[in-house]
Amino acid sequence: MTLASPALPIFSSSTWIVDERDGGSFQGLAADASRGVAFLATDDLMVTSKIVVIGIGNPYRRDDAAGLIVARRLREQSLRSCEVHELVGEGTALMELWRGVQRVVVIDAVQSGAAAGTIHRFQANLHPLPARIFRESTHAFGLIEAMELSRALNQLPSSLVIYGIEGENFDAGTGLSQTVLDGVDDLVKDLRRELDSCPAGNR
Amino acid sequence: MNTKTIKVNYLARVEGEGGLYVKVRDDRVVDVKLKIFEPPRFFEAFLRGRNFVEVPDITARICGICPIAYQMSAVHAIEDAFGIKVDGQLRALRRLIYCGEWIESHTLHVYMLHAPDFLGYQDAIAMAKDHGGVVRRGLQLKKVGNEIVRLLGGREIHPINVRVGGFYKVPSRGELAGLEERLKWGRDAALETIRWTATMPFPDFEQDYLFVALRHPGEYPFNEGRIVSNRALDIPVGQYEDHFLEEQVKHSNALHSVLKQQGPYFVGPMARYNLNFDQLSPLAQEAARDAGLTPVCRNPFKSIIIRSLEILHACDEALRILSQYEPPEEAAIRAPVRSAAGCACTEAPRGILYHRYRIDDQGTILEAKIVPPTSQNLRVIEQDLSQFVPKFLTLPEPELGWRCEQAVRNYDPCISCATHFLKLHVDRG
Repeated sequence: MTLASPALPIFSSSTWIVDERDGGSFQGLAADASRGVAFLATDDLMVTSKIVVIGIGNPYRRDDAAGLIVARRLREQSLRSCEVHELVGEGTALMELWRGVQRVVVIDAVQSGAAAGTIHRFQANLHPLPARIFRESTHAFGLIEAMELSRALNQLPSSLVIYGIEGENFDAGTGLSQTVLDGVDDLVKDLRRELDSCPAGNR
Repeated sequence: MNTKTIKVNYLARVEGEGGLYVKVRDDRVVDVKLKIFEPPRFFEAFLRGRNFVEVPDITARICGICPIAYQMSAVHAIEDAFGIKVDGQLRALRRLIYCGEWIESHTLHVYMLHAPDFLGYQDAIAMAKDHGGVVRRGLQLKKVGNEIVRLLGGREIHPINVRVGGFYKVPSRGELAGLEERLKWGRDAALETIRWTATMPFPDFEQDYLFVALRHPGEYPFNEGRIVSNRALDIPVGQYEDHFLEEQVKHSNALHSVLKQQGPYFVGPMARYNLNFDQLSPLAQEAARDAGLTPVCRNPFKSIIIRSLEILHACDEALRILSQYEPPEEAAIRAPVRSAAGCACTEAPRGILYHRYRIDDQGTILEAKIVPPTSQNLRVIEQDLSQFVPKFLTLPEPELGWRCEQAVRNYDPCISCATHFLKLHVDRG
């Protein structure tokens, strides 16, 4: 696969490919409280200190559901600092969820040619995503468009981390491939540790 | 011989996958093919053997943008088979949820998919850099529609609360209370949308179309009415298959639909508007006149104004329904299962959507037929292109291709629905 930056494993568990331009770090990102405020006057915007976690996928397309499964597992663990959502990936719904939020984590399935179960990490608030690896639905407005439109409107969260889980089977049906499930397990473990260590209200 | 081919391999900003091929010989368009290569999805086949209860939820999966249309046509067709009629507040709630879908689907198309064509931007993202306020307004307006669908449908995408006989759960007055303020804002935003779209540059392009839409004596059509045209067609929905024919064409995975003996026909907002102008809310009629539209419009590029008018009408109609809402005692009326066939046609955002089901005495679906609006418009789109392209043949290739795409987007085609869209290829020889 070709990514804009070389692969850099940052966690010990499974294979991680990281967009290293952000330093591979979850923490220490500068908050920007002004973002989204311009919209407040017309649309009762609530600025939340919670970390919004969004799993994206189609539950009936095998490995495409990986992001949804990660979100579901994180929700079951009731992390104090998080608000967890599961979405099919419709762009305007995504924009709505992350508007006025400081820190957002999105998990989606990807198809880049890497080994199944590989975890990719991108700091989307800093750089555009490699669109071709994300499995867009045929809908004309998905994750990539939502992110770029938010960027154009100055509505991107100050921290927007996208995790892509490499899938291998996107046929109709339910149930993840074993290697993808292993990737999901590792990502849930690592995310739980990361998110749990983030104090709520860290603006 | 001077020949030329225009080819768009993948059409952008349409729902689904398709391409466009135009063959030109001596400044004459000799062939236009709207190629639909989105794979067929076989919904009609896998509905067979399923219980009728599952049909609205299965057919909602045909489209992420207009699931309500599929649910509405499905439940009305099955109710027709069982001989029941949903009335009163349940009927009003069905109109309300349809208003929500029109608002969200039309707003997405007007702001995100079609407006960039008129203003000369590659896409809505590029447009947002110069017109941030406009795009924000569009996003907020779409949200008004989403909220209606979420409230009544249980969730925004693939809603789950619609059933044969009514709903699984109906909202209290309190649960709907928050919508009113949103819709009043939406009505103002829709008016601004109409004023904004009316100022866009429109090519001088009018055709003598055969328009087909539902018509109801007392209301702008959503779920009920007779199928009418501007050329004397006026039939009950039950006669649809006597008058309309689906044809297979080699270059498309979507069937092409024609009116027997009359050929291609035009469905969707412009057809509805032309055949039902008098049923639009007074505010929408006034806004149409202010936007410079007459009660009949034959320029498909102006469909962007008409979609905006329908957003306004949907906000108005939703407010009317809310003001008269009393929760019904039962969320659904009983559906007496019997061996029968039934059909229905409703007005999806993109035009009439026909469903027919044959059901056995256990409620199992034996046969299903679904004719989505996009497959009914495909022939007219090809016809438009064959008339439109010669006027712009002197344009450089990329601009000509872009003009063609804009002409296709006049119809807001939903290729995923139709396959049961675009790449452009202009063959100049």
